[in-house]
Amino acid sequence: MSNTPDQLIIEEIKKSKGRDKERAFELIYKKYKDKVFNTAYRIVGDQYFAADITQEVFFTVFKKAEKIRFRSSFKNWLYRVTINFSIDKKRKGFTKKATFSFEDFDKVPENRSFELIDRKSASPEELFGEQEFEGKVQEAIGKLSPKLRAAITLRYNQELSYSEIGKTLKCSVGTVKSRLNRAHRALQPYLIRLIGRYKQDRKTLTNKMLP
Amino acid sequence: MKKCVETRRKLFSFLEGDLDAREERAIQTHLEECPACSESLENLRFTQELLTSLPQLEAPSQIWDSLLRRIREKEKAFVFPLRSLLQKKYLIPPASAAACLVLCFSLLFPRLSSPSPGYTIVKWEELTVAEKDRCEEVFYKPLLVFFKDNEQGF
Repeated sequence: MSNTPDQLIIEEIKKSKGRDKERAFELIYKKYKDKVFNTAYRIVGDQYFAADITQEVFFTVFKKAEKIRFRSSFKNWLYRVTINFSIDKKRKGFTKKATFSFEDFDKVPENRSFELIDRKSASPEELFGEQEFEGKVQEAIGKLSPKLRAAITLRYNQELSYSEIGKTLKCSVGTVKSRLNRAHRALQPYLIRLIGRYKQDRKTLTNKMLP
Repeated sequence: MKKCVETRRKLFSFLEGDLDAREERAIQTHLEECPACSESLENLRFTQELLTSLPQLEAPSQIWDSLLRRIREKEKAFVFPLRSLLQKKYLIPPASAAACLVLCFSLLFPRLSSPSPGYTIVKWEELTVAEKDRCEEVFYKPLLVFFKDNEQGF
């Protein structure tokens, strides 16, 4: 069942009622919740607002299931909605309070709200300590314009291909490339110190490892 | 110098393998002789590495709980066709206007709005003293109007 294409699950949400509808909705939720949450988090830079946005996005999926048309894939549509909601939230400057409060998350044991499920390359975290490294990079991303931030998030956090990013952001592959190029150049000044330390530490680490 | 500017602009495409063979070779040659540009390339590579190694977080489970609550509420709620018109904000102005109107009307014409059966409006001065004494209710004496019971008579 987990391999069912999204389209069929959405059809199921449209057709069914009650428990069946909830079950179909849960399938879609489980499949995409982390993707939506991470995308929102990298764009707004706040986990509580990211949780709010995730809830809002999936509530929209439930509410508007009938109206979803599959001109592009569901995944692209979902990413687009997530990005629009996130940019909107960021633009409004968080005037409204997040529905998810700190108390809600404090119930999670060990005072650590979110678990890391995947670490592709542990090296930067190991070198600087996770918090510092992540904070700095996130801060730098926050300095980019919304369009560049969306492109960077989809490419490096969600690992979408150029053409998928193009479909999601409704622009050409050429535009995606030029946005990524611009984003990289814009990020350099903010990350240069971090990169310097990264290089330095890596050199010492490699020297130590050599006999 | 001009070459450096051009190279920096194309570094990203170079890194992604997006250039044609001729351009790629030109940049390769320039990189070999320009330490500043090759440092730029290295920085770009590190930037990419930093970006890809941002941790993936797990969405907190509280989201599903509150989502489920919301969709159950939505499913349960009976949708009345004119529901939007019955919202508080749309109801307050007309309702208060109507209330004011009723209040004014009932103050001016106490019995006109809901006249009790058997009462008539008579001018106060047309009544005899005995009748005045037997009057059950007198409304609006200044206007010289009052009600008397028809059936019982005076």
